[in-house]
Amino acid sequence: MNEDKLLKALKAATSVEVSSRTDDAVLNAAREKAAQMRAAKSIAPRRRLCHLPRRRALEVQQRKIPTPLHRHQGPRHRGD
Amino acid sequence: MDDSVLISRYKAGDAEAFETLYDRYKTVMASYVYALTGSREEADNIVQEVFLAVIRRADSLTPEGNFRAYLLTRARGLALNLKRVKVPECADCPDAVASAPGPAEIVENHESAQRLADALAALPSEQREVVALRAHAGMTVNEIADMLREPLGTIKSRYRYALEKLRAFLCEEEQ
Repeated sequence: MNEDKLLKALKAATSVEVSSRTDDAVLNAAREKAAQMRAAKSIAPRRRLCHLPRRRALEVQQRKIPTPLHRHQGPRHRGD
Repeated sequence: MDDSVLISRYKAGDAEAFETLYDRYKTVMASYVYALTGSREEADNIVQEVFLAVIRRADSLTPEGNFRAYLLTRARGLALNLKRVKVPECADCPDAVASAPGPAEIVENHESAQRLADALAALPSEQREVVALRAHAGMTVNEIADMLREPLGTIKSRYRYALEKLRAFLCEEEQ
């Protein structure tokens, strides 16, 4: 028997399945954790603006005012 | 789909990505731990324990790492730490080896499957471990050497001796 055939035969002969109890325990925990991670992501603030006064924070959030963060991403102006 | 993509998706909250990873590795891990411990129950417990630990620490999982090696290394650590390493005594417990359906043309019946399982169980534990990783995880000898932190030559010779013994065992049984 060549090596490949022997390995395939060994795999088929000595495979061990996990119990449905383990399947349920692992998959339920995985779903719970996934829901937690989704929730954590959805409430995460897009940007930290709490150091700015409220009105200024709103303007920045609505992108009315360019901030250093915006400025360095855009094209450079002549004379900058 | 690649493990790293599935890990990233799971970290983003996609539970189905984790299910795919679990389905991919649960039998590989259980079969490997069974080869180490000789106990289906312990294999089952260790698979559960390793995956639950992965879930608990999902936030810090890194998609770049080798997930298969990570799982198998953790499973091995648990199996060895619990001092449960022993040779499976398949002759006394014929139901110990799961009758997972395999390629029909290779394992034609339960008898030949049992013969192979007995041959594997009769190997020294170091050789059995290498064969189990080759057969169930599909790892190369290089990957096995990396995972077990052993010299490549050592792993190659363990594997070569194991194959020789398995072939000799099967020949003896046939005569």
